[in-house]
Amino acid sequence: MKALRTIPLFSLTLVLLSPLFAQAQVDDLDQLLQSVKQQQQQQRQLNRQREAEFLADRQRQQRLLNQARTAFEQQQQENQPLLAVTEANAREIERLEKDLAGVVEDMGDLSSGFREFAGDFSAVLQESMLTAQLPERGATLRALADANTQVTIEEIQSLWLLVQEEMTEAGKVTRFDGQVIDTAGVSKTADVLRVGVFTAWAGGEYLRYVPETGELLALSRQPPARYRSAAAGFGGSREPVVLAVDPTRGSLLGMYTYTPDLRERVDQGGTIGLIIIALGCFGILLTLWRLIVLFFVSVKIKRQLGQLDTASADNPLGRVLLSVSDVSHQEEELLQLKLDEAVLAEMPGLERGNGLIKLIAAISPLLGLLGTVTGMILTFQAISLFGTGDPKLMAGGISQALVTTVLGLVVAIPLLFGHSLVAYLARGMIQRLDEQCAGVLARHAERKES
Amino acid sequence: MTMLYAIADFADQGGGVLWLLFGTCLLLWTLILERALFLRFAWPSQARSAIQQWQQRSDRDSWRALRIREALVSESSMALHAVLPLIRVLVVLCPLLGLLGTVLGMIGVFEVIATSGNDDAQAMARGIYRATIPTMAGLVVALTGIYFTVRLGQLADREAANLQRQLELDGGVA
Repeated sequence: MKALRTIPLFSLTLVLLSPLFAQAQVDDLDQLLQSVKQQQQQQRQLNRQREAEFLADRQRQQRLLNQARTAFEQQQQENQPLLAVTEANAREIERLEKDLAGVVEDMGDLSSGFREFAGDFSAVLQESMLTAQLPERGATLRALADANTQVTIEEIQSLWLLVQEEMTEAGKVTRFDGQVIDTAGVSKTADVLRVGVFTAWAGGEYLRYVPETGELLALSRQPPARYRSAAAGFGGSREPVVLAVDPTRGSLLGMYTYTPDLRERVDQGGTIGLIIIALGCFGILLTLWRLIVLFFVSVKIKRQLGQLDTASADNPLGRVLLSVSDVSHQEEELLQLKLDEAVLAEMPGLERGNGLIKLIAAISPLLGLLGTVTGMILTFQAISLFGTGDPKLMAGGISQALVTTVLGLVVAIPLLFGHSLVAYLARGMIQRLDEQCAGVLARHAERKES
Repeated sequence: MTMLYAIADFADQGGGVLWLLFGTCLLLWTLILERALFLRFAWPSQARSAIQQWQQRSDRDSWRALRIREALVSESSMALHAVLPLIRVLVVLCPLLGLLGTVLGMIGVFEVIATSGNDDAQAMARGIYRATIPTMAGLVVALTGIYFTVRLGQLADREAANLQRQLELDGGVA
C-alpha cells in the first residue's frame, strides 16, 4: 500500500523539477548569462512591441476623439437653431399660461357675478307674486345660485330665460289655478286672476301674496265692494273693466287689514262712545216719533178745518173748538179767555220731546269733548310711562279722543236738524192755533149768519 | 264735464263729508232761492188778496173783525217766515259738518302714524291738509248763507209789518 502511494507523488516532484533539471543541465554561468540576455532581449522586444501597440492604440483613440469632437461640433451646430426654437416656445408657453390665468380669473369673476346675480334674483323672485303661479322656478334658481362650479352656457341661458319670463309675465293679466288660503285658513285650489305682479283676486276677493311661504292669502279685510265687483265680473265680457290695482305689490292692501272697520272704530270710542251712540239712537227715534206724530196731527187739523161744525176730540183744533162750543159768540171776553186757555193746554202735547231732542243734540258734542279729554289723559299717561318714542302707544288714546268727537258730531248734526224741523212744525201749529183759531171761529160764525 | 271732474276731485280730496256738505249747501241755496222768489213773485199778489179781503168787509172794528184781521196777518206772516228756521239751522250745521270732516281726516292722519310711525312728515302734512279742506268748505258755505238768512228774516218782518199797517181799522185802532 505504501509503495503504491509513493509512486504518483514521486512522479509529481519530477515534473516540477524538470526546468531545474534543464538549468541544471546548463549549469554553466555563461549559459545563464546568455539566457538572461536572451530573455532580456525577448523582453525588450516584447516591450517594444507592446509600446508600439500602445502608441498605435493611442493614435487610434486620438483619431476617434477627433472624430467625436467634430461630430459633437457638428451636432452642436445643428442644435443651435433648435435651442432658439425651444426658448421661443418656452416664452410662448409662459405667455399663454399668463393668458390662461387671466381668462381663468375672468371666468371666475363671471362665475361669481353670475352666482351673485342669481342669488339676488332669487330673492326678487321670492318676493314676486308670480312664484305662486310658477312655484318650480324657485328651486331652479336656487340650484343656479348655490352651485360652486364654473358657470356653463346652459346655466346662463336658463337664468336669462327666467328673468325674461318674470319680465314678460309681470306685464300680463292672467287667469290660473292656484292654491289660495281663505280667511278660515283652509288651503284650496281656486281660479286666480292676476294683474302683473301687483294684485290678485280669487272669486272677487283680493289676495295677498306671502313671500315667506309663496302662497296667496285671502285678505281678512277686503276693500269696499265697489272695488271687488269689477274683479269678480272680469273675463266674462270683452268690455273694458276698471280694476283697482295696488301698485305697491300688496303693501297698501296690507295696510288695509290694519285700518279698523266701523265696529272697531266704535270700540275705540270706549264707554263714552257707547253712551253717545245710545243717546244718539234714542234722540233719532224720538225725533222720528215726533215727526210722525206732528205729521198726523197736521193732517187731522187740515181735515178739521174742512168740517168746523163737527169738532172731534182727536186733534188740537177740534179740542179747542170743543172747549168753546158751549160759549155764545156774544160773550167775547169769555170766548177769548177760553180759547187762550185751550190753546195753552194744547201746547205741551205739540211740543213734547222737543226740548229733549235739543238737549241730546247739545249734550252729545259735550260728551264727545269729554271723550276727547279722557283720550288725551290716556295719551299723556302713555307718554309719561313710555316716552314719545313709540307713536303707536299714543295712538290708542288719540283715536279714542277723535272717535268720541266724531261720534258727538255725528249725533249732534242730524239731531240739530231734526230738532229744528220738529220745532218748526210744532211752532207753526201752535201759532196757527194761537193766532188763527179765533179768526177761524169768527169767519165760521159770519158764514153761518150770512 | 270739467266742472264735474273738478268737484269730484275736490270731494275725493276731502272725503265723503264733502258730499254731505255739498248736499247741505244745495238744500240751503234751494231754500234761499225759494224764499227770494216767493218774496219777489208770490208775495205781492198774496198781500194784495189779503188787503182786498179785508177791504171787502163791511164791519172792520168788531171783536170778530179783529180776530179775522189777526188771523190774516198771522197767515201772511207764517207764509213769509216759512222755512226760515230751516235755513238758519242749515247755516249752523255747515261749520259742524266741516268740523266732522276735519276730525275724520285727523283720524286718518293718526292711523297713518299708528301703522307707519311718525317719520313721514310729508304724508302727515298731506293728511292734515286734506283734513282741513272740509272745515274750509263748511265755513265758506256758512258765510255765503249767513247774510241771506239775516236779510230774508228782515224782509219777512218788514213785509209782515207793512201788511199789518195796510189792514186799516175803521176805529183807527191798530
